[in-house]
Amino acid sequence: MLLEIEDVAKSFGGLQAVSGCTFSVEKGSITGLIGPNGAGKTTTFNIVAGVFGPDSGSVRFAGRDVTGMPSHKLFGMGLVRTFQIPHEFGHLTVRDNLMTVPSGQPGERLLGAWLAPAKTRETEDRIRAQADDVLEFLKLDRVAGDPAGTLSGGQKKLLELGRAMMAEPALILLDEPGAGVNPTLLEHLGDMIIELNRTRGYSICIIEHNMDMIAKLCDPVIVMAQGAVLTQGTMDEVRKDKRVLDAYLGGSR
Amino acid sequence: MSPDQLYGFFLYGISLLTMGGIYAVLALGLNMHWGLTGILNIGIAGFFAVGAYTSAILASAPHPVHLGGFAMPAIFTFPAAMAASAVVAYGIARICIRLRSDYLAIASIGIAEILRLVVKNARELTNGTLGISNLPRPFDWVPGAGGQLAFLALVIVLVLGVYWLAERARTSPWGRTMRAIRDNEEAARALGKDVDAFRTRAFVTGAAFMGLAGALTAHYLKFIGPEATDPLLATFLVWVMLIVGGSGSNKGAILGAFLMWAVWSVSEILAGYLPSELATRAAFVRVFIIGFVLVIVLQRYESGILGPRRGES
Repeated sequence: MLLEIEDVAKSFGGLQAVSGCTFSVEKGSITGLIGPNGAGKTTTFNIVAGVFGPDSGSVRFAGRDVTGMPSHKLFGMGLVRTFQIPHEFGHLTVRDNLMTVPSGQPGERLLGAWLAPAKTRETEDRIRAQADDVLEFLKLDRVAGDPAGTLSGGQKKLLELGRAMMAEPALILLDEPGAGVNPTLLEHLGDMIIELNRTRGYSICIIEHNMDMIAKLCDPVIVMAQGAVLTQGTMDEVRKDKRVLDAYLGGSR
Repeated sequence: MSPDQLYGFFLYGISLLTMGGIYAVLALGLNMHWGLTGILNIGIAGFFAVGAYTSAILASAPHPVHLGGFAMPAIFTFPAAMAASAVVAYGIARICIRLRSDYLAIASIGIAEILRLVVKNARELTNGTLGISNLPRPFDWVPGAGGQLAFLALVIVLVLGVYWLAERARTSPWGRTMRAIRDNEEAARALGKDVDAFRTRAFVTGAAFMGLAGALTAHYLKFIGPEATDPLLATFLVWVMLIVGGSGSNKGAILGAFLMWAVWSVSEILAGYLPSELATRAAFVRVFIIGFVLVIVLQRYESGILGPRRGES
């Protein structure tokens, strides 16, 4: 198992956002995480990605206990997340958004920037080529030089995915990649996620409300409700589960 | 105009450019903090003081009250001043760098005031309110105005050097990551950037520049006392310079420093022409003039003369 979440709980003041949530993501899979609004999906993502630690429970990634580990260290281990609401670097160009991502750039250290211009330039050339490949893959090459803040909502979603690709991660957590994306682009986005999984071997965990997209991409699908896992299985199995329907319609209360 | 008057103007011009250059170093340091990183440092005077006193103590002759007698040349004391400010800044950063900008601003005021009080009261270190005098000025052995010209040349070289470092940092991948952090800190963290470490480095580097400016001031004036670290001159004026020149632009920081120092300095001369019953109020008028110029510039250039235009980064 690449990612194992064990009995994780988190509350904000009086609100119990996640309580006793346990599931895992298998290496090489595209795992879907669905559930009604307020089920605790994004909170779980935030705990896994190190935005904040859980009140109790543990998170294991790539065989190591990473509970409460800060984001930048998890990133170094190959775990990268995207945001439900795009978090682009608005004043940077689209290409610079991507070029910022790789860690350990010599020019990213002040002494390197001052004293090792040749090495910095060499790395820059390599990263720029990598960024341009990603932009071409995402069909964002035409807007490469535009400030990312000027992109459309759908393009920003692609950029989120692109930044994750630049990290060449083991696991990508995608938080509602399809929200606010038009149907044509959604189709395209789904195809790209499948291709990333198949050809580049990224394991992917997706939160998504669009059931067609989940059905097309994900196996298994994990259903969360009220902060815990309700059930899991293939999309067909989950669809037939009466508890899932009840959860979405509020009947389980 | 008599030759004597001309010579007077010449010397005045040299002093104007020298102090303008020293302020340019301060403004470049502040641009590292605010323009590049968004650290609201209102305690510039503190880092300035640490640099000034470090260099003064290391360079001074033996003295019965305060620490001294090392009589080291500027080539050692200036780097030592930068290092001392950097170390102090690092200690502060370890505690404060996580604070949001406005809380960090309050902390920076407090820290600068603490340092000022230390300077005033640690007599065995700083000679208290009497200050450290008879400091050697580099190139003072050159006869006539040559010594002052040579010191001006040193200041200009140092301004260019600091500018090079700051500009190189800004346009490098390091600067790109700094801008990314300013744009969206959460995303930068999720993409593996150790935000606190990046901000700390910017803070420490800017503080080192401020320490250098402090050392230059002490040796230029051949004296350093607590008045030199007055927040009006060592903090407020630097902020006005950076805002007028254009926050975020290193060229703007330099332009703003020379421009506002000229305004400040010339206003002193003008104040001299005031009738004696008004002369006591002149100090307030000078501050008013600085504020007035600031407003005029911001009317015309909303983000400073060389600051980024709307929509640019």
